[in-house]
Amino acid sequence: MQKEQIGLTLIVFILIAIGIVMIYSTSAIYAAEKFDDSYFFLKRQLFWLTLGIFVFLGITKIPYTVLREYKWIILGLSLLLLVAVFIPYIGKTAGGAQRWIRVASFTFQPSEFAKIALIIFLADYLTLRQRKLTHFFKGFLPCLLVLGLFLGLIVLQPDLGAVILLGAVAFILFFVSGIRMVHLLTLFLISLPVLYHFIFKVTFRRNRMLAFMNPWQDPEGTGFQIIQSFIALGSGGVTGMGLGGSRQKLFYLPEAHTDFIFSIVGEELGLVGALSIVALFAGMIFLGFRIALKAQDLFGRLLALGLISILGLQALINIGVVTGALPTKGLALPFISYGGSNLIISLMMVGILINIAKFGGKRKKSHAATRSFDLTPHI
Amino acid sequence: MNKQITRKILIVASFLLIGVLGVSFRLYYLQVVSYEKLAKKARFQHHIELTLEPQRGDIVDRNGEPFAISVDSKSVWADPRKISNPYEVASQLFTILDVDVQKIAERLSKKKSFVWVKRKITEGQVVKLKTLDLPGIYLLEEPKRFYPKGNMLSHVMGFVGIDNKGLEGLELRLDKYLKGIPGKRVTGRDRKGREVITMRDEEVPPVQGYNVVLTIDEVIQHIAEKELEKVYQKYNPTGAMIVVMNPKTGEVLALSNRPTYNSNKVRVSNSEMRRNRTVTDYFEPGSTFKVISGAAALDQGVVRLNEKIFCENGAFWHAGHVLHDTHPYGDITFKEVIEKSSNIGTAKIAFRLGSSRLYNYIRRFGFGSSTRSGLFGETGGVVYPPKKWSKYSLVAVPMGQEVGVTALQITSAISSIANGGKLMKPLILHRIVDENNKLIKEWQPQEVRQVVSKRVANDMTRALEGVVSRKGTAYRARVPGYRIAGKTGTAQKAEPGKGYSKTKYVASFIGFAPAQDPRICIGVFVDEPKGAYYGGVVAAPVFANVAAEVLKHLDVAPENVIQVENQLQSKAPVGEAVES
Repeated sequence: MQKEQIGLTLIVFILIAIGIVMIYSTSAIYAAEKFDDSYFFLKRQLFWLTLGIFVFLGITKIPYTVLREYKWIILGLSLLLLVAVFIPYIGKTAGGAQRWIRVASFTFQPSEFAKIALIIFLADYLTLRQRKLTHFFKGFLPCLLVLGLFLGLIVLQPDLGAVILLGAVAFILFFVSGIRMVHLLTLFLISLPVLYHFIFKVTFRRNRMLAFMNPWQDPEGTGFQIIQSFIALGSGGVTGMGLGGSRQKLFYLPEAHTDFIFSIVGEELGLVGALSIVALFAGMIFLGFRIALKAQDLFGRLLALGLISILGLQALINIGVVTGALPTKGLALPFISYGGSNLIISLMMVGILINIAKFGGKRKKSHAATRSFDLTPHI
Repeated sequence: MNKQITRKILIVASFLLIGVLGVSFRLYYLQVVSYEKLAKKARFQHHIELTLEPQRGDIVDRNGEPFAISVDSKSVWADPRKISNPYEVASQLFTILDVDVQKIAERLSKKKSFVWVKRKITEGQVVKLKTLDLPGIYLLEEPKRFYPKGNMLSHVMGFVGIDNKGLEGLELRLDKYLKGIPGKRVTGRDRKGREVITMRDEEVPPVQGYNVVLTIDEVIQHIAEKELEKVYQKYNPTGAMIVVMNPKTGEVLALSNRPTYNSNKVRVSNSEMRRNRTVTDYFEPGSTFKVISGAAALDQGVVRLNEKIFCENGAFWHAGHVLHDTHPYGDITFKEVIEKSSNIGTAKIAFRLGSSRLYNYIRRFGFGSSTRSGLFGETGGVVYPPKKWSKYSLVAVPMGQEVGVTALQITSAISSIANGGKLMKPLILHRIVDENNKLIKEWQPQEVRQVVSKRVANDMTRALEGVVSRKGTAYRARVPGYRIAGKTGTAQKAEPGKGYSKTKYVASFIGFAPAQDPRICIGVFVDEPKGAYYGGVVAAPVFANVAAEVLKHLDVAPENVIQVENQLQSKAPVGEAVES
């Protein structure tokens, strides 16, 4: 699976390179005004990237099967970190949410780490209990409780975007690993009123939802950000205003260098640039799924599926949000948005995927007959 | 089992593929289908069209002395879309600009991108506002009108409104020349409203307004203002006017009114103070009008200058009225009729002339129609045609009753005597030039008509010289070293329903100098002076003082010999104030 390894690495680093350029483009004026240093965000992102490359290289060297052995430690650490955000002096509040913990002068987002931890746990659990999964109490319920505990802690921060993302990925893993459809559908139906509660009983989320449904209702208030995103993308047209030529980044579009960076990409590089990034993500998803299909064991398959799903979904949801196809979630665009935690965790995920690819394609005899998968006819 | 998992993985993959296609379509929709609409919205919010105010043209006197200029100033405006707390901002603005909090807050709440807060603020306010740095509040360069001479010539200048648009006077009349053409700048701005210079994409510079050059001479204007103010203070009249003209060209060299106002402080004035009475108000001129009727009679040959007229010893019955002279006269020459301002003598001459010929001459001297001087708000006065006259009119009209004239009309009529009988159109505008001094429009001296012959004009001038002698009514109008010609007027004011007032007069003197080669013609009019009322007492000294200074300013050489001769001519006591 040499091709997948090279292809995935290439795609991810192209995305990161675009991200670095766009972070500078979108944040320079804002940073110059706020911190009197136009390189403020660029420097920090480059620091995280350097760190992330080491993490990435390290992870690719560790056989993914080792992760199973440390699953409890990883899960426990993740749980600790999720609790730590609520401890004063360690947790950091910003924008009405306690999502960060402070380490020296840097902040870290435990919900990012929880993504990896939960996917490892689920892949492992679903592999171990493969034969009991159809049984609700012995199979499904235990992992549902762990999932519930994690999602519960994250929703308290609150970070509903991460909860929905993780919920969706868990759902995918349950579905693929053979949980009964009756159980899944019931779970889905039960979660709907809960989601409804979280969305419509919390003012800012209800506003986001209303803004999504009709942004022009209140263009100066709730609809402001999404309308500014439309204007950015729309005014970019096919070829864009040219790199650095964005006008929306002149304080019109909030979060231009983080969650809404894709709008500025569309404004500066046009439909051509925007679709190129979508194509790169599509390529990443394609290669990720190939790795999942060719993984040497079930754990590898589920792990790769979970990781590529969470990366792919997060990218699609982010682009869906900035194009107004989905309500605002507060999710970063992997590899491109400014933000250290997300970059490191995303690189870790890719590292694990590469590692799975290394061992893939050479199935053990104990598994099903060796044959290559050709994706195209199936899709 | 494996096969089933593979199948399920492919199902998940196809969902993600749908997602990829979905966002791709969405991008196509936004960036291609909605491009026009969204690009327009982007332009609307990124660009702002600023009007670049043109500089209003200057108004200067004939020597380039400025009377109205434009100075830099700043105005405060707001973008209400950027203001979330109008009341708070309004009360902060109040502390600096002293604006009405309620009113400003309402303005700041409007759904507009541009509202005025306060126009043309002071330098100090600019500094304070800049330190406050309120979001959504901006400054704009706006030239402001300034009148460096304050209330000098304010009645001619008029003034402008806050938009630099002329509201009165020449500022209104010549607005189209003075205002210039506004320019515009289309430029980018960030969300905080700051201009992004790299996004400037269209700039049409404003075109400066034309400069207007007046016929006014600032020095003469100053002299006239000073003397008029003196008489205004001394006799406390309801109004006073002075007009100084060049009789050969019709150019108005100075013009002033009392009461007056300062064009820079229009707010503290009222319409009574702002009216340019010399052209907007007409009045019965009284005896100065005898020059008109006298000249008409001479021109028609019904009388000669040295012809004796019997003046009925001071009382003359006509049409059921008895007409009086101030002092009784018997046989006196027509020249003396003018010198002593005999009403009876004038009436008798008028009988010879007849109403229709008199009327024609009155009109030919320019009465009853506007002089079209270019001054704002000019009226033509009132002259009734003979068919509307009563039996008594032929007595009243020749001595300046039953006619309404403006100060400018009568001064220009007397000027025509000074100018050999040629009536010139009064001019206040000299030329209009652009900022590079290129000529746009020019007013040349314009002869209206030869009203009376040159000989008649000379004869009349001789008579008017006699007025300013010991024998005449205006000895106080004399200027040492120069021959002065002129005529006094002391007109009783008509009070509606009560006939002529015994206490309210218009005292006037209109004269020119030097008599044989006139350079200036000056009309002085004092409405309802208190304490004295004869034209020879109230108005003549104003003429003398102004003429003396102006002649010196114009470098007119004195004629000493004739002065002596003039003094020797008469041994009689000072015969002032002998007229009605």
